Amino acid sequence: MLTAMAAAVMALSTVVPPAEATDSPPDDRITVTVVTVNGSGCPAGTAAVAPAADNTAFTVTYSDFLAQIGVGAAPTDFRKNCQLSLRVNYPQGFTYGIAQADYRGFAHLAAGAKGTEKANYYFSGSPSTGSTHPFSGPLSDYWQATDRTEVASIVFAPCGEQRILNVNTELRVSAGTSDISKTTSFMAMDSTDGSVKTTFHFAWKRCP
Amino acid sequence: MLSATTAALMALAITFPPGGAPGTTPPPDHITIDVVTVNGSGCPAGTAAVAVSPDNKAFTVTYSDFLAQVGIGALPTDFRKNCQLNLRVNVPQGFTYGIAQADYRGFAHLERGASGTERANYYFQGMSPTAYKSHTYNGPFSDDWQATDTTEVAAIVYSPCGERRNFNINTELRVNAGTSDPTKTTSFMAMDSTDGTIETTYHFAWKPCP
Repeated sequence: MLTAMAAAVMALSTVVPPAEATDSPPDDRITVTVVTVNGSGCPAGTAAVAPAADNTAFTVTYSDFLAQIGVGAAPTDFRKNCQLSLRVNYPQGFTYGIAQADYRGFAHLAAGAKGTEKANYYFSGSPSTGSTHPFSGPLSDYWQATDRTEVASIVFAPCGEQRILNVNTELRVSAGTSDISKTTSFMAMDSTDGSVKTTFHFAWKRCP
Repeated sequence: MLSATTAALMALAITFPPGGAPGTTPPPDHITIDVVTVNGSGCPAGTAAVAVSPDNKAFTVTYSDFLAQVGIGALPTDFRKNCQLNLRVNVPQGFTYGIAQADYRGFAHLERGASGTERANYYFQGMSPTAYKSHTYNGPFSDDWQATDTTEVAAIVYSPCGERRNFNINTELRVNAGTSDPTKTTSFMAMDSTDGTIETTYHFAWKPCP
């Protein structure tokens, strides 16, 4: 019982980051917090989230986000995904900024094999936009991909507004002309970093 | 039973060092570090332990399963394992200059012709540029290894008056069979511990403009 409690305390001490609470109302800039992380590439217990102290950025690290084909791979292993649900807080008024996502990992692709990192972005209830970064074998090295977009919002709500942004990241590996009976090709994601930089913010008051 | 309580206290001590929860109290005139997360294929949940010094100027991460291997008994994806540390660097207001150091220690068993590499990638959250340093060992080798990276902190500190971003260290072990025969031998490289220290050489504070 005590052991279980101790384990719970230890678990809490690692889960709750030593920082300010993440639910504080937005001030004059856009902030982002990670609500959920889940997918075939990041089942429970395999992803860790590290928010920045001011909630303008976060890092998600993975211990088992790896897509593979060839020797040792199951037929369904060629595609793995991990979806992040993010709460984006917009301050009241007009806000303009830049949102950026950096994906980093390692790829080992035999000659002729191909790997892809793809991210789909959508706000709950809206259509999605995708961004794809392809890699070709022979390759056995780090890879890094960056997506960047402008963010502009007009919020009339006096306390600002919160929306859920979904980021579905996917790794895919295809054999191409490589021989999968003799080789293994894989692509792994080590980390995903998200950040929002508010370039300017412009608040207004209601006419009396 | 007692050890469980001790473990719980130790875990708490790690999260909230004396002087209050990090990040909630203004930093003193020294740079301090908090380890926020530890995760990767070489350190899945439950296999890494973090010990932070009471003054938050040094930490040690130990691993129970951070091992990359090739050859007999190894899966095709086992030749590369990583572990990423996410650190909150608390920088005092003003200009600070110091030295940050990371020590990596472990054991390697490399057959003749095989090689092993320890590599660390360093980057800030939200920034694309990634710096790295790597250390390679060549077989035949069957002994402890140790690698050290040092960097000036003035280069590490990012935007102290703007966004507060965490610092990431992604460590990696890679083993290459090279000219050795992986059908008859096994070569591996293991990491036992990562130590980080930060030493403030001088600090220089000023007041913000009104």
